[in-house]
Amino acid sequence: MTRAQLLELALLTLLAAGLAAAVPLSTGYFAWSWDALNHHVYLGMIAQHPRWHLDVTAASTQSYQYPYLYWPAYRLSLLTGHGAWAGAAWSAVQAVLVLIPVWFISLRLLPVGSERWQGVAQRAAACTLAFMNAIVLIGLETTASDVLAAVPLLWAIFVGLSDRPSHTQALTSGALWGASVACKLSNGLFLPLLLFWWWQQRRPHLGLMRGSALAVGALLGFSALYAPWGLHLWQLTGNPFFPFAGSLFGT
Amino acid sequence: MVRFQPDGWLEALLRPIIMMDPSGGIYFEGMAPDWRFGLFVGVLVLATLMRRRPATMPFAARQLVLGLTATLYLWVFAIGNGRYYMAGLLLIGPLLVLAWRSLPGTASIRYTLLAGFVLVQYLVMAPSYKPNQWGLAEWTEGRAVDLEPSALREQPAVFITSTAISYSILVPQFHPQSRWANVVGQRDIVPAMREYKPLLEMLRGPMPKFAVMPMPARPESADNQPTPLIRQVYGDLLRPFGLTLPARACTPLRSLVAPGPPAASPLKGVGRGFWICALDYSESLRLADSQVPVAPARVAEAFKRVEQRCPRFFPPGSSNDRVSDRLIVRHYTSDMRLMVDDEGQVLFKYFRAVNPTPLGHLEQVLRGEFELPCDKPPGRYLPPWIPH
Repeated sequence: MTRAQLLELALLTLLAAGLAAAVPLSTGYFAWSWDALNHHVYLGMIAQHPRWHLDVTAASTQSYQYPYLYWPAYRLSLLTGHGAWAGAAWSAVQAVLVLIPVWFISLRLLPVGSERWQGVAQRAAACTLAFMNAIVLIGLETTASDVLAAVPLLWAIFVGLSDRPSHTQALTSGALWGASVACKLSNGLFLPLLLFWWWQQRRPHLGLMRGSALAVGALLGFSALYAPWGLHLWQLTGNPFFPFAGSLFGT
Repeated sequence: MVRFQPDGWLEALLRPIIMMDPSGGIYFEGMAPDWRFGLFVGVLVLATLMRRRPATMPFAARQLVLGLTATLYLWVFAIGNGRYYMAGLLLIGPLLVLAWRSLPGTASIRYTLLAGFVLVQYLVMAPSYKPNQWGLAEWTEGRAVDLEPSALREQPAVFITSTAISYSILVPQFHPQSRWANVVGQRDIVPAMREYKPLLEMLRGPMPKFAVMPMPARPESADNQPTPLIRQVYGDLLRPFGLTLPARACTPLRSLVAPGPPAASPLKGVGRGFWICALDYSESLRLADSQVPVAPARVAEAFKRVEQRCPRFFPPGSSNDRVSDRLIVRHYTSDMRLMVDDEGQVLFKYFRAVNPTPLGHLEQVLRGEFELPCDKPPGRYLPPWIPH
């Protein structure tokens, strides 16, 4: 990475943070969503102070969701001050966490030769277009975990795009994918990415070692992040994925 | 959850194009038109036609495009909810630029086109995006979660919520040894559930019990107490758990977390907050009331006929039954409601439909003499090729 690219990333990061922060600042308040009132803050609370021995589905069916990414929402709920500024900080942090991997993906996906400014323009357009969806923008301003859970997946994609495939690279991209699934089980829908990363240009196209590295990485990444919560659920219900996979665990 | 799943193969296959439609309820509860996926497909087709050979990409990029395509359709068929496809919604930005690179033409034409993509997506997105549009409660200044001070917040007690929003955001505002349960709302806790036993243990315990009831958005009365009708509604919801609301005064706690007009609204004097109302628990009442089915046998049988005819929208075993005014209503997790009114008319309503659709009289439904548009009930998204 060159100094010019570092400067480019820094400028784009500042721009993304500023624009994201402008939303709560322009409205003058931080907005608690339906989901925040229902479960985000509560889940963040039980991430820090488990309450299984006290409550019974206090946050309705969402009480069993992976809670750790909601910890910032809980901490936000305890603050006193100007909501707009707290919201600005929250939105800016989320925007930065997403922009950086998207920029790195663009760097790998859109290589340019000596036309430096064309590269800058293409990456800027790619990053701008990445954010241009109402769901993405709403995700930045609320306490939903969708944006945070996408971050390890984006890094997994960046690592998976390497032009020098190796077992370490496969292990790392698998681990990041697994971590993203632990954060949000629906990220498991991105399983086809793992299968395509297994497929190599050189022979053997579906190498046993590469496939094993991806699988072991995915398992390790998932287990490392999911184990504490899975253990809680298992102790409580006999099913580490409750309320899913009920037929598998007889719950 | 079928909310965002397509109603048929064509709708599924064309989802990247359908996402350009500014209608709400396609892959998000609100409007979120997205032209990026359609442009991506269009640019790749155009590049292939103009170059008369498939658009070329580096191997790793091709893998990513194929992987994301497979993921897109897996998502569409499994969930279709955009909030569960966040990484895909972000990645389509770089992928659209990648596809754009395969277009022929001079640099000036191509970069003008790229700027056009950004402009088009901005123009379609801007009218449907409003800052903080998902906000129900505002934190402007002071405490992030404001709640009026009260002695009730300082002592351990059992708090029961029975609304679709559980308002568990209040839990950190009360004594840490207080116990909370959302017994009715999105899902009723019934004896067959694993949660029923710990709930009973909680209700039988010695701690005082309270219902947490959000105040409806209406002008406050002088005493700011729930009306008899409100007491009756909550009483009906809580009776199967052996809980009753005694005729004691409730404690109103003002809070902007509760539903109501924004703080800056011109609607002055509208109360926002919660009533904390004492609850009595009776084991005998619970035993008597939890066994009584809400829907009479013939109504339950009629509902079963409808469920058998269309399990996708009326999934058996996933519902809550309620008696509301003159209706017996069954709520399904599929956003569908099935109802019988006091004249025996059976109706259904999808949550996005304006009006309920009549199915026929109870006797007709019991005989199976009813038409049910199970492939596309009123209120579901209608793609452009289906006449509106």
